[in-house]
Amino acid sequence: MKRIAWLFLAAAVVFGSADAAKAQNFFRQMRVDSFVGAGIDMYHHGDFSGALDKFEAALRLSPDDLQVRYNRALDLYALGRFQDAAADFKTCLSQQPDFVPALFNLGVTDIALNDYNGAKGIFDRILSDHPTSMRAHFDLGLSQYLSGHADQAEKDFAVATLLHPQYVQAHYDRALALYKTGNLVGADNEVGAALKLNSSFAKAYFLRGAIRLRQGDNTEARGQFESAAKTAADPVLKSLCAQIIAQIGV
Amino acid sequence: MPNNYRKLFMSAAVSLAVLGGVLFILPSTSKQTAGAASAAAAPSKSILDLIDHGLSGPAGIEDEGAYKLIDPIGPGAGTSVSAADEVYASTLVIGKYTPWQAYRDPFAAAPGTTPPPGPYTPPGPPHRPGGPK
Repeated sequence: MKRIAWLFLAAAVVFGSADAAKAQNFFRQMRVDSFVGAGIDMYHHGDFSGALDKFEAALRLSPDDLQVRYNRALDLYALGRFQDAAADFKTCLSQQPDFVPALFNLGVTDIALNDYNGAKGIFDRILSDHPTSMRAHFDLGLSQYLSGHADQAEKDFAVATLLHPQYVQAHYDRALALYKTGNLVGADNEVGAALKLNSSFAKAYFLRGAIRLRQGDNTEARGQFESAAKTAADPVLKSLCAQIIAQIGV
Repeated sequence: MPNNYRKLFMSAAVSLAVLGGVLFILPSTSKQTAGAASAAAAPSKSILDLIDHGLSGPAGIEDEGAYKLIDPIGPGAGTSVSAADEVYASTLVIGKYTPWQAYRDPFAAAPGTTPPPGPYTPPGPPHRPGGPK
């Protein structure tokens, strides 16, 4: 009888402690979720420093949580701390190699760190499994362009425009790549497509002005630079337009 | 002889007219040629430098906005699966975001109201006019 009572007591202690551990885990996860939810909210509202505090508080409670580390990496990128962001994305991938969002974002971070070959390797890897990934084509194009391969970039941007014809940026980037390769007619067509989708795209007017100038049409070039200056929000671009217009002097 | 003078005079007049015409036309012709040449000429180096400066930045990566990175994952945001779908999509996709609602104290006063004084009491059954007293 005594033995049975001891067994009951032992079972109660075991199950009781298991329940206590479960409850502790539950409340810890609740706090982690609360920090992460608040951090994501701040991230979307542009409060990246506030978001970082939240993600770090969550990581202190749950250091192995991949999603929290992933979110912190996004926030570090937004704060311009690209090395730290890359380290977090790499940690995510070392723990879960098929964590594709972390892989893609590591590619974007590599671009920010001027590691274009690293970025190309990542986007090529994504495209080998998913050849219709618009964003991988677009960002591979960016990596190619920034590493000085405008001809290769043009092909990737062309695929991006075919996959998503409404993506203004892809048309603009393709136009820029064509301009760099000396194909002024092709560049003009693409910049036209970009302006058709967004008639207040200052950089597209600027690019068209450059095309017209190279084609020897100073009057038309001046008009395009004037449109660029009118629609530009960036003061540097506005100033460049003013200087170019003054030098054209038509 | 007078005829010879007349011929000489006529030929001199014609020569003067031709010469005058040539001198009159020449400047405007040369001006047109210069104008056409300047229109077809390559833009000056300083303009090209300015243009290159304007086009030298990253190819619009700063204009990508929400499409620069794949979105956050977690409460109020997407899942790992939806974030992976963003990567694979053949068109641009952004993850769904709903503002995070913190866990609420069920006994807390509703936002915008003041809590009733005194200890909490659970709501009673609805009062029915004419019911039991």
